[in-house]
Amino acid sequence: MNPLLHFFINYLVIDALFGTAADHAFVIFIASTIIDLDHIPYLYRKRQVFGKLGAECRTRFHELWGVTLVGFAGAVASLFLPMMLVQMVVVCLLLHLAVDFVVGQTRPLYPYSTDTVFLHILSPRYRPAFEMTLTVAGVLVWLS
Amino acid sequence: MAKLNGKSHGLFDLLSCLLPRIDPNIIAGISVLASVLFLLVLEYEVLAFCMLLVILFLDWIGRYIEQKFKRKDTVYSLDVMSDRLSEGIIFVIFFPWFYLFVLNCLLTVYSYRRGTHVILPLRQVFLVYYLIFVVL
Repeated sequence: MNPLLHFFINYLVIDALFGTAADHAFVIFIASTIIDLDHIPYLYRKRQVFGKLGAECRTRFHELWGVTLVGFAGAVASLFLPMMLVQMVVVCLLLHLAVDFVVGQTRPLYPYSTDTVFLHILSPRYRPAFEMTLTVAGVLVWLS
Repeated sequence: MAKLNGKSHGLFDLLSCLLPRIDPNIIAGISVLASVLFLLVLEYEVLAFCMLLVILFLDWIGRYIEQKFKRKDTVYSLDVMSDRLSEGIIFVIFFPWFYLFVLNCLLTVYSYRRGTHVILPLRQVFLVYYLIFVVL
């Protein structure tokens, strides 16, 4: 999923949960998109910016290792930071991982296993159109 | 009596025909999405409890299909990832449980590396907790 769509999905969920998404839009945006920075080394190696990205473009931060890290960091941060802020950031990070897990190819136990899984919930053939439609809808809702 | 392929079937026959056709991997993905729905209906305690039941039912039916029909296309890593994501999403609002979720993630990695299966049944226990301390 593209970073913008991750942001829109997380914004909606945070607003439904806490009702204060507008006040924390910047935090939601950072938390929704920061995990995708792990694509940069792959994109640099392949000299690729757009196009289909498979499981190999993701590092361990997108897999169970990343889920564990998010959980651990959230647990530690909850001892020092306001609980609502920590919950917001953790929700954004976990939702990003969940959406990528549901719609894309992943290697859940990477680096301990290179088994690649794909749920076939969203066909790769229709995924670009689906993503584009939702992203445009998100932009229109955001601007309205 | 329901009809399938033009023939009349009882409910049990219908389930016996339908269940082998269901991909347990897709059920794992749907249980993750159901966990997000749980967050969205948290305000309505009974509805949230029903969502928890749905999530655990999906988990159970996926494993049942996998074992009953000896599906070779299911992957252990997918199962554990969907379970941990579901737990993380559910427990992010219930923070003492979130610490147990972190422990479960560490146990998952440990289990895989050691070839064992040492996982805490957090969602099942949480279901009972939620019923007693939130719903009732």
